[in-house]
Amino acid sequence: MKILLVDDSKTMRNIQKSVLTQMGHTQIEEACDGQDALSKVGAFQPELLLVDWNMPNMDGLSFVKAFRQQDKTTPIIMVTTESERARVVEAIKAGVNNYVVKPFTPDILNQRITETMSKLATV
Amino acid sequence: MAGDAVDKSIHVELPSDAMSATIVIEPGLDPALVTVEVCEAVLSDRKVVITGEVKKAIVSLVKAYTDNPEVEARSQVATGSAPVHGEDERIEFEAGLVPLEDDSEASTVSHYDRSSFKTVSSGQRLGKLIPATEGSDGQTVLGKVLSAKAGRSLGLRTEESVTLSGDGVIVANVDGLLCYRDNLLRILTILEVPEYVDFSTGNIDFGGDVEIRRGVRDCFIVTATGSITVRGLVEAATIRAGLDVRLEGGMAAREKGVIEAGRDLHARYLDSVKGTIGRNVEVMKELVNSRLNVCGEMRSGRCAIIGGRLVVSGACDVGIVGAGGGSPTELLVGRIAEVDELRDVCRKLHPKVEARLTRFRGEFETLVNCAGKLSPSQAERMTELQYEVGTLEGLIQKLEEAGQRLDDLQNKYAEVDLSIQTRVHQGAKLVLRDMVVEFKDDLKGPFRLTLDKRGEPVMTDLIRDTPVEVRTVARVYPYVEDQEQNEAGQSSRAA
Repeated sequence: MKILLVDDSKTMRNIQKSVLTQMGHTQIEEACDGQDALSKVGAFQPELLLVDWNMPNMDGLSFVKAFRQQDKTTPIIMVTTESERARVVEAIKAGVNNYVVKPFTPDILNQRITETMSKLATV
Repeated sequence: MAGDAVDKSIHVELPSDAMSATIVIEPGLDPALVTVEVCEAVLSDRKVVITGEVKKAIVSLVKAYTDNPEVEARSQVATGSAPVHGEDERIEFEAGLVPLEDDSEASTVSHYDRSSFKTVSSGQRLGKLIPATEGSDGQTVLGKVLSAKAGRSLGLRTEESVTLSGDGVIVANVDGLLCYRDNLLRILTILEVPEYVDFSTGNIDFGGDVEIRRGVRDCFIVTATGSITVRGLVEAATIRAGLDVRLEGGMAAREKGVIEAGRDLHARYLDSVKGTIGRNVEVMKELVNSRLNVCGEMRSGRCAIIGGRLVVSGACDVGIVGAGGGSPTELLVGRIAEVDELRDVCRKLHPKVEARLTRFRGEFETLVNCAGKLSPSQAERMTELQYEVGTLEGLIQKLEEAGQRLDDLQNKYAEVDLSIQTRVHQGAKLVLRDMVVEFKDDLKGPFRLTLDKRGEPVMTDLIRDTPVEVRTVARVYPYVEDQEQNEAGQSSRAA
């Protein structure tokens, strides 16, 4: 499965990449903000996106809105420190499929990814 | 009258080898008398063969004279042809391939690497046999045929080690040294070096056995896929054999020389040598200040081990261990050097990983106990710490498992059986797998040391065939691989 990681922190991307690699995923692309991600989705054609909220240039929420205009189905998991209920609702309304709040453990990320993909398969 | 004038004024220059004919017409002769026919007649009188080419040359000459009869006209009108002799049959060797007995190399950069012995591999194209040619005959201007000599056959002979195909291609059938002598082309699978390995031979890298009649000089490297035998002394050189190494004159390596043998090592004596031996070792006289790892057995009942460190995986039979002067000598029996090295890596890595884990855990606890909501950067840091802690815990578990597996390997494949025939000197350190036995005084042999089921050293007097209580004659304590820790351990026990 092709997965796009969108986070301005290289360390966070590395952690997510490591978890995904342990899960058996090898086709992983990285983007450092929303703009960078938008420029890569066309060529990479991801099947899952893990997106941070707070990033320079284009934040995660703006990216999700822009991305959903061209792609309504590819699952997006928001991985962020924004844990307030209102923010979560805002993200879900913008088109996010699942939500992981930082700090997270590798197990939680693993669990959310599996959960999201299972839901999608059922639909 | 006209005939006389012609005879006097037109003549032919014909050299003794008759390879050319030149007509000379002196000035003043009536041009009407100078015709092609007259010139041909003059040539014919001298037996020169008149060909089409000759006629053309005469026409040009006559015209030149007729145009200017006041000047001497001269032209070489006929030319002979020399014979072209055939070429002898020969071998054209592939680029860079110079067989033994025909080394005409100029110079190379490193004199150590400038080897006189070029080895070839099985299946390698060596060159091509170029057949002899017939050549072509020549002819004088008088029509005499000059015969060409045909090229001679080489009379090439080959052995089974090379194949000469119908189209002349020569291919190696075995690895070895290409040798061409007395028209016999073959590949030698044993390389015999009649003198020293030195600047006259360069380093040797041979795909077979090597036998050196004299010795090996400082800094030279002898490598062979088979066995290496040296009849004379090996200095501070490197000897690498896929199979056995036999040093009949011994080796004085001055802490620079190295021996690597895939199988057995047999030597008269070894001084300041480093090396790894794949199977058994037999040293006849002395093993001095050397660091050797022996993967098989040490069968040297008359050998004195003085100074250095000898690690033996299998049974060990030696004459004397240590020296009166207290030269630090370590003899480790029932240990596999490679396993020890890996165990050492695990052992050194473990505390480093533990320290890092402790630091991360501390930072993590601080964040957990932090009052109030975490800032975004704290939340990200906490994620990092959780990840690092998980990774390091996994690494520690792997290190512990690896250490256990290495211990199991050591116990399974290494044998603790040490026999000392003549004497062990005070201060010599004998390590029987995990136990150090250090004798309080010099002790005469022969005796044997093994381990019982609990891993405790057991000593047997080989003359009376009776057990000896080890702790009455020696200090016995657990072996700690790190030298400093080992000494510290001893001090604390003494205290």
